[in-house]
Amino acid sequence: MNSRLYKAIGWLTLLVILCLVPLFMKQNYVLHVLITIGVGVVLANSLRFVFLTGQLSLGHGAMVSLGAYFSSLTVMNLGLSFWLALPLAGVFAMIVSFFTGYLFTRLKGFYFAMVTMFLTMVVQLVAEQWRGLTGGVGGLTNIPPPNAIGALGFDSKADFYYLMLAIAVISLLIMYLLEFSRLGLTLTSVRDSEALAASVGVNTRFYKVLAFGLGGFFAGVVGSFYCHYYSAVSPSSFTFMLSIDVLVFMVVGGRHRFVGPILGAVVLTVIPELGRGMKEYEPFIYAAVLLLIIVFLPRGLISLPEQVRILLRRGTSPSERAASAITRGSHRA
Amino acid sequence: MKRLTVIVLVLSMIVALGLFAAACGSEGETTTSQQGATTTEQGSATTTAPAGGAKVLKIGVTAPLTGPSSSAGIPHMRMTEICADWINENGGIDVNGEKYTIELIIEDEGETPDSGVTAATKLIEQDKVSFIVGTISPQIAAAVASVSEPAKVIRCLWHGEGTNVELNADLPYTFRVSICPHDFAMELLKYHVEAYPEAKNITLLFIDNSAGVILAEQVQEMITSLGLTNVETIMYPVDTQDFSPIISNVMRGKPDAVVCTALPHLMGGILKTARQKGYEGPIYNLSPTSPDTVQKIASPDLSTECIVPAPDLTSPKVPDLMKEMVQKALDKHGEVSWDYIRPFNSLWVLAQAIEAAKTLDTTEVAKAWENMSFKVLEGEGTMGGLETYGINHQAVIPFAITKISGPTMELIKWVTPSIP
Amino acid sequence: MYVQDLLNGLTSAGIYILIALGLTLILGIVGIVQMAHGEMYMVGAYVVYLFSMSMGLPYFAALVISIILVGCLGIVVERLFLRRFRGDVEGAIICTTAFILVLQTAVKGIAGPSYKDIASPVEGVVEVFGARLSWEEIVIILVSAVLVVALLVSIKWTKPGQAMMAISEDLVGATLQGINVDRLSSIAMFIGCGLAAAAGGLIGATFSLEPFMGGFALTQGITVIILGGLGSVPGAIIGGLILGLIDGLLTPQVSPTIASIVGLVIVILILLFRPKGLLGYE
Repeated sequence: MNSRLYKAIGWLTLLVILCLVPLFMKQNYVLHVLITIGVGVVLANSLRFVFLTGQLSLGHGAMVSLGAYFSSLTVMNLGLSFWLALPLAGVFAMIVSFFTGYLFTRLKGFYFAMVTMFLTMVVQLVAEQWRGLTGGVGGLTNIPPPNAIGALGFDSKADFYYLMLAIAVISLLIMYLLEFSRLGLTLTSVRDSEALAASVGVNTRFYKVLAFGLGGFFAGVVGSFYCHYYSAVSPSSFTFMLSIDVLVFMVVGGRHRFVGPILGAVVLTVIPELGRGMKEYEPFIYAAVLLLIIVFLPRGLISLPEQVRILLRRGTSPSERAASAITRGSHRA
Repeated sequence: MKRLTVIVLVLSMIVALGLFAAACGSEGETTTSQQGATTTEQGSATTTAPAGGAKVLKIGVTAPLTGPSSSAGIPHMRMTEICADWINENGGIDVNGEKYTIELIIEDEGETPDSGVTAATKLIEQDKVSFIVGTISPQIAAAVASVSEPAKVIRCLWHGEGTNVELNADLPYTFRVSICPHDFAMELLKYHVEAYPEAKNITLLFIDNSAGVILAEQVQEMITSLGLTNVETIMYPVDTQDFSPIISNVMRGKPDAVVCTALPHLMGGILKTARQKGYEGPIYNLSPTSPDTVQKIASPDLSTECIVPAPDLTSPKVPDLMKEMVQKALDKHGEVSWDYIRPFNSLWVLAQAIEAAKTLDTTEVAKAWENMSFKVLEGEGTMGGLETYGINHQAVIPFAITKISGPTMELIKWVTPSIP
Repeated sequence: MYVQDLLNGLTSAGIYILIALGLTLILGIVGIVQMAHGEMYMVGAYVVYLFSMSMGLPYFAALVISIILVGCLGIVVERLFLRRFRGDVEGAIICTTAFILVLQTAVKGIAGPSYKDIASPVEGVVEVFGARLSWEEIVIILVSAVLVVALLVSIKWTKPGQAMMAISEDLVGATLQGINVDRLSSIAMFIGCGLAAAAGGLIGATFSLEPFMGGFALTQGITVIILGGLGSVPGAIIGGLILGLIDGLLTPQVSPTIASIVGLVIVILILLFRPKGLLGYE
């Protein structure tokens, strides 16, 4: 109980600090990087939510794209308020996810990953071809910023920062509560043994579609934020490489823990920024980090303290090592 | 354990390779940034005064250094460095009697609007630059405008596709020095009417990019106004490798001439495939692709009757200053093509605009730029585009029409388009 | 005119099959998704460029050298990295994505960012039934046919070939039969990367080289193996033919992008109604 309390206090402190950042940090560039981190965090965590049922989706790029186009088109053509368009973009992406998820969830493992990747490619190609609606390859530009609300006028980075923070906190909270509820248990049971879950009366396909749809909702919301923040969308922003990037955040951070994708998004967004001095050779750094982590920490960055502890114990007796190996194997959050 | 050691070795080799490559890559830029080495970490002003000598003016460069566009982005970046060195060697920028040397801050803008905005934000907010040169893709140009325009940062775009997303009346701080496909189109079509009076039927073969459809409409209008016929318009994706099916489609319309937009390797592919499949008529490119690259890729025997709006850099008709820059690029990087030379003007004209304004205030510089005539590698230039874009921020400069005929090529003439 | 389209389609199919065969072998036997397969294709093209254009070797010698060198690169990568990711789809995607970045950036740094071109070994055009086929395209069709037949024969008639098929059908069963999976993984990686290098070298001589040419190869390769069935060698051949013919016959009728959308939708439909692809194993 106590450790839970400490955890909660820790998270709250972090939240308060994050709320205060714009007050003492006047560097808009830093705020911008924090906003991109926020985008990455929500995407990586929503991907992990789909992954709870063991489905590896590469369709996140499509969902972000749908959310972005839905939001910018409704705001620009129908005059909808951004605050309505944001959740609606999520709902739109969710409906499409439910539909495609219903079709795709009969496929498993690699096939599911690939068919969702094709979905991303089809959405991109359609966005390129449907010129009358999406503006073709050039995409949409001059997308208005969100309508002013209270003290937030959306004429500075700090306002967008608070919006992103709110989106991130709310989505993470929802996903956290869902994951550690009965629903979350059911979802993980589908991953761990689909046959067993089905045998005790769990409608596995329903839960898979549900997880895919909810993941799509958050991706759509992020898409909506994306287009109003950057004021431009183009199909080239949402290629399947975006899906891969999000997957990289999730796996490198640690796909088995809730905090993993958050960590992954933070680290892997900051590293390229730090590597800017390398110019065209910057991908070397990024790739080396990926390889180091995936080879030495296959369970992600989040397992670093654990691995260090195991390494330090190398000298101890074989029985202790075996014990630590067992705890490592059974450890799951 | 043994394998682990090997992995560590391989990874460290990758990192070492990266560091080594970065060291090599940044060699060029040290020459421009020597002056900035003494820059104090205040970062509050565009300029800093080192202990004695000229002041330093920071100019940002955003180029796609990673991703597919880097095949143009890296040459562009290198040439901009050469241009900065050249301006510095000649005394730097003279702002109302004070001499400034240029320090370039180069950032990777990637392939998407978000990476472009990140690079521009870093330049504007972190490095406090007031002038940015660069950007290739129109989507990135449009997204970056949302950061650069409120900050009143002057941007000189390297080039564009010619839509009014890149230049319009709402973007008072955005300029462009290079010429866009639709401005090449009219002059190339006029040349076509002169050189091939019988060839009336024209097929358009355009890259499916942001300007593709609009450009097709504009060029169709030009074709009709010149008394020619547009057989059909075909759009193809930019990642096409095999052009046989597309050429097969083109040849079904039996055109007398083909007008395309294409990157250098695409142009080579189109030309080669068309000749192999038996199409004999002239092929025009509305994108300024280096004729020698096209000739090399299409193989000299097959590159006949191809006309591009870029100079043959070995021609005697190339101005002396451009020849000098060709030599500089060749000495420094061992290769040269029009992709290198083309972006030179952007930084140079920006420097001339600052000199003309006699101040570093960006609003004044923009005002001075709009009404000035300036020097470019090709000759002289003025500003235009008030009718086309709603703002006269488009430079009107001469361009070369080069005809590739097999192993030889000829720079036919320099023409200055009219951009109302 | 349709003969022309058919022949164009066959040329595309030849390249697609070479790429997809490698991808499907690696997936079936090494057990990983090789996202950097397109980069092996690109490196193959650049090695041919290095040996034939810079060092002046004859084109076909350079092509053979390239197949061997890139195959060896594949073995090294497999032994050091890929082996540990058997069955770990996410890990393999991350690892091979890192290779994409490394190989693209390294080639761009070493060879320079500008477009390269390999002088074609053969010139001229042949007319067949009113269609014009360049010798380069004939070389593509011939070389890919020879390589495909060689692969089929070696799978059918050699012991490692049979062992490979056993692994791709049933890993556990094959291991229990005493098949050395690790050794065969290396062989599969050698063959797979070698085939990709061959495709790259052939395309490089016909068109042009750039460090980012691999992306196209990867998406086409994945489409083909999904269409044909993962891990299935005949599936890759049939899938490659279908996709190549869609390219050749459909592109001249509609726009190229519509043709690729049609291709993708066909693949998705096939997956939905036949989840294991046309010739996949259950």
